[in-house]
Amino acid sequence: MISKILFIGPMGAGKTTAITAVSDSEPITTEADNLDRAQSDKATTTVALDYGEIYLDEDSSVLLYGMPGQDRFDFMWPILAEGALGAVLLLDHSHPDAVAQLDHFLEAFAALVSCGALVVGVGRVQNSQDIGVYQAHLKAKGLALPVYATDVRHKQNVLLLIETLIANAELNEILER
Amino acid sequence: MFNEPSVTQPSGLKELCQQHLLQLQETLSDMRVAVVSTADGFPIAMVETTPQGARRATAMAAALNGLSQTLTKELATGQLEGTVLECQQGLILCRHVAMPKRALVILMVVDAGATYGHALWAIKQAAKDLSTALHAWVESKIE
Ligand SMILES: Nc1nc2c(ncn2[C@@H]2O[C@H](COP(=O)(O)OP(=O)(O)OP(=O)(O)O)[C@@H](O)[C@H]2O)c(=O)[nH]1
Ligand SMILES: [Mg+2]
Repeated sequence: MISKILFIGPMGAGKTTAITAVSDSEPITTEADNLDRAQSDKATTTVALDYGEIYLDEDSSVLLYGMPGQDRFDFMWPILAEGALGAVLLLDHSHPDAVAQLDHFLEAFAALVSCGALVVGVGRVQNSQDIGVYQAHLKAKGLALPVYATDVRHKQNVLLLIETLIANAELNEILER
Repeated sequence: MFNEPSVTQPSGLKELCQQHLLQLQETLSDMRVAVVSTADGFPIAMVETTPQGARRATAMAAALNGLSQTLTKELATGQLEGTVLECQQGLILCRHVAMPKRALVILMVVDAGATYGHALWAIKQAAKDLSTALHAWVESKIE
């Protein structure tokens, strides 16, 4: 079986880093020099997509598609989202607008949200209580989506997000039948 | 929702790019739109489009150029020269413009009436001339 999952979220949240951390094949990236250092102080930014793969066994794999984070690249989002099982939404807790960014991506990927095919990974948290604000925010919106504190540089952290997403998607599929 | 900050460009860069786009327009009567973008999709110069139209076109130019570059590398086909999309109502041509320390992208749309070869030649020439001018401009700034 082949499943496709997306990595979505604002610029600098760590989509490219996460895919690079877990991919079993050399990831495919489309990085360009980043001139918008005010938004995220890093050397490069994704302009089209990231692509990686996790090999589960001989004939199953998970295809990972990373999106460009900025709104100016939002024309890429539906193209890449086609046929996806679900999405990992990454946030940067140190960003002052992180909650608004969460809302923005929930809205942009409303179809996945409505079928519960989304997990939230919050990066750069200081302690485990930090994710409470995102959990409370989702709860207030009537959404029961898993939220994890994560460090996208660590393979095990990213795998946990992916495994949760796949388990949830499978469960939802069973419930819908 | 989030306003895309327009990154400030060094003064003179926009004018130089604009001038080259106008020259390109003169050599190609069938040109519909042309833009110069930073490699990460910020507009620098444009002809025949509004600033809003240019913002969309430049982001797409950056994505197309980035994807083309990755394809070129993945499929081991040397350096990317440019990308051409053949459409029912014309051609979309995209080309990388080398510049010291950063790269720009030029994207142009021509009507179906344009000759493929002429359009290709024109954008190649424009990218080359602009690159030469940008190198000279950067050097003059350093001196
Ligand atoms: N110090 C620190 N750095 C982190 C942490 N999480 C992520 N990073 C860094 O944050 C940066 C994230 O950059 P990318 O992976 O390019 O982010 P992206 O989401 O792909 O961004 P765009 O493609 O521009 O939308 C990388 O340099 C990571 O190493 C963290 O917990 N601590
Ligand atoms: Mg990225």
